[in-house]
Amino acid sequence: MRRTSLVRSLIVLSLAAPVMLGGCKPKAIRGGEGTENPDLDEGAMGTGLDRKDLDDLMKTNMTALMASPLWATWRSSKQPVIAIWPIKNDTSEHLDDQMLTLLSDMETEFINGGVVSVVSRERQAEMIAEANLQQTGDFNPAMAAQIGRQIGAQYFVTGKLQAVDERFDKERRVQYTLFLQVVEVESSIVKFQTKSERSKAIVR
Amino acid sequence: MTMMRGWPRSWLRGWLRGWLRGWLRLGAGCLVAATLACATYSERTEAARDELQRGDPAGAASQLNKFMKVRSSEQLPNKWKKDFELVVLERAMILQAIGDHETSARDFEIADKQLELLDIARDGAGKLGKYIYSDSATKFKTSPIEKMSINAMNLCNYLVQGDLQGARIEAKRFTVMRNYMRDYDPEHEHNAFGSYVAGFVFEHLGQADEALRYYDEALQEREFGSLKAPIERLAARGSYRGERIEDYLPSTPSAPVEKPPVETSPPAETPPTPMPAAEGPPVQRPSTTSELGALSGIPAWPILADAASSGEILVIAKTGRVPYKVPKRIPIGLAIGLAGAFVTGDTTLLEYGMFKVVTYPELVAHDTVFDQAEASIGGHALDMELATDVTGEIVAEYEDMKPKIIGAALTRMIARAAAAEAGRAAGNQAEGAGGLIGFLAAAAIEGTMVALDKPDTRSWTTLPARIHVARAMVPAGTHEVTVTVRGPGGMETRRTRVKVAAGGFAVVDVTTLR
Repeated sequence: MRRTSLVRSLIVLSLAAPVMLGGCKPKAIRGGEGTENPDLDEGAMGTGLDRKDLDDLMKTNMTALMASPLWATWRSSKQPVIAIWPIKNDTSEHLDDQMLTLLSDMETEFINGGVVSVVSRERQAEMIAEANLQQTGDFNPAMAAQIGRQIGAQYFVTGKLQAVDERFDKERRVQYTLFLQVVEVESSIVKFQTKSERSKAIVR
Repeated sequence: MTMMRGWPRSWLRGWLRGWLRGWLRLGAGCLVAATLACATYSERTEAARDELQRGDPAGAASQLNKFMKVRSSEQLPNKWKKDFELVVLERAMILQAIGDHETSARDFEIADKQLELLDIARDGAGKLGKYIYSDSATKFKTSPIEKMSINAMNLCNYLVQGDLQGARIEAKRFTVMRNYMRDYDPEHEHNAFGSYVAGFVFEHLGQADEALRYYDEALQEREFGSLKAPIERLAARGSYRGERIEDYLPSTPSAPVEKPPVETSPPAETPPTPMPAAEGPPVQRPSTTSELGALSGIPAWPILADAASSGEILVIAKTGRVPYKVPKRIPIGLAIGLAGAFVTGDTTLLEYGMFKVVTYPELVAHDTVFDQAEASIGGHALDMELATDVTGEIVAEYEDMKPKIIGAALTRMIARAAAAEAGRAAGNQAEGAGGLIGFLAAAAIEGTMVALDKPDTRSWTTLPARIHVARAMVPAGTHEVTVTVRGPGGMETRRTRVKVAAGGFAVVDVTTLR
């Protein structure tokens, strides 16, 4: 009897082992809206800026802009022409790809809002190349005025991302601030400015 | 059993002896078979390492091809059996040493996709130690340092081929791993070489700020005199200023090399801070001497003023191989002391076990043939700098994991001792020679489990131990680059002719793997 139960236990164990091991095997999954894992993007995986961070930062700044007197002026006037200057990555993080995503998001919001006309970035790049200029992340009012006149833009929307990076006892916190600014091309006067914040950290 | 009481005692003894003999023979056979079948990874790849040690990387690649049952290095296995992805990684490194950068890049990319990361960030239940100790049956997982090195090594392949876009992708992959390391292991040095070459890539892609960020990262790990001139050039085009970048800029701003024609606004950045006095806080400073110093009697490369008609040569020399893992035995008492809180289970059970030693995977060094490098271009000496001590990083990473690994080994040993005790108790219940049966049963169980219990010695054994870099601006044209490697095994010189276009670059890579 004892022997039979031992044999039975061994058989069960040998059959269960591959199942148990197989259960730990990693697999690829799909996530986001409309999938079986809608919350996949919710968790933070590092101290960099992810899709959710970019969306939140963008939303805060755009909401502030749309509630501003400048936006009200734009709504009441005949679709002013705006151009978007690259957002400067002023952090030590490699976030240039994220900055490009942010730029595209901003562009999409402006275009779909229908309140302003947006100069295509390709056209802007062509003009800069034609004028033999070099557009960097730094907003350069003189260059902006020159390009603005050439492309017919009345306003430049620009921004800057800054970060405060702190460490303590194997923990790390990065506090990001995204500034958004609207500058009138003709006068170089800052017509609107806002900021949004996001902190990311590794805690133990 | 009731019926047996009436049988002659001598017959019983004879039957028992035969029964035991049979079981012991079977047990011994199983032990031998198990031991032979479970050769560790380091044992199975020993032949390839021997070939490398003899200076025959092609022979080493052939050995690995045999392992994967493919005819040549051009081929990939049809079926991905256990550890093949690691062997492809080993072969990728060897192919780079041979100079077959295209196939090497392919192998690196495949290995990078196939290999999973051993996640040091999630180790709540001590899974990490358990995995490394004896889960050689499971899929191999690279350590973070190894994973990061895959991208750094593959960057070399693309740079040698002049493929900046391919190199850019590898640089971004490298950054993902470096960010992970910075977040979860901020106390150790992390592959300054990768940041250095990633900076080189973005510098030549014309992305000044991104290049400066990478150089800043490299300078966080160690100083690089060879970055002084590139940082000055880039600072004129880019606006990024980290603390270390400031240190590498002259105290009085020099005339920018390139400037947009219509630059009317003042620069946004604060002027560079002057260098503090030597007795100040220990900050990194640009080095003006190389690791070996300039080659004796060879004039140093002159600094070229005319950037428009010149190109750049980057020399990369990789020497030695990182330590590999072998099973090591230590007494239980010492193991308990080393493992500390990472042991789970009743350690008193170990007192009853037959085996008083613990076996775990330990790193052992290769016999180093070359460990230093020097370079010259057209007879002019270059400052060769040690970019990354990969061995140091691998050892530091492993030392951090070691208590967990030994803890896992002890935990498993406790489980073995408990099983042996159960066997002993069951054997003791038998009448007559019950005590003997109990002892033999315990010995058989514990012995078989020990024989089957092979520590996982899998690791990237062909990863170079030390990486050196040197660079120089040279007039456009063809140049002869000489790289000499030295060490306990003697010296070796390799000469390469490269063509550099005006405003372009060329990368020379020498990998010894011994």
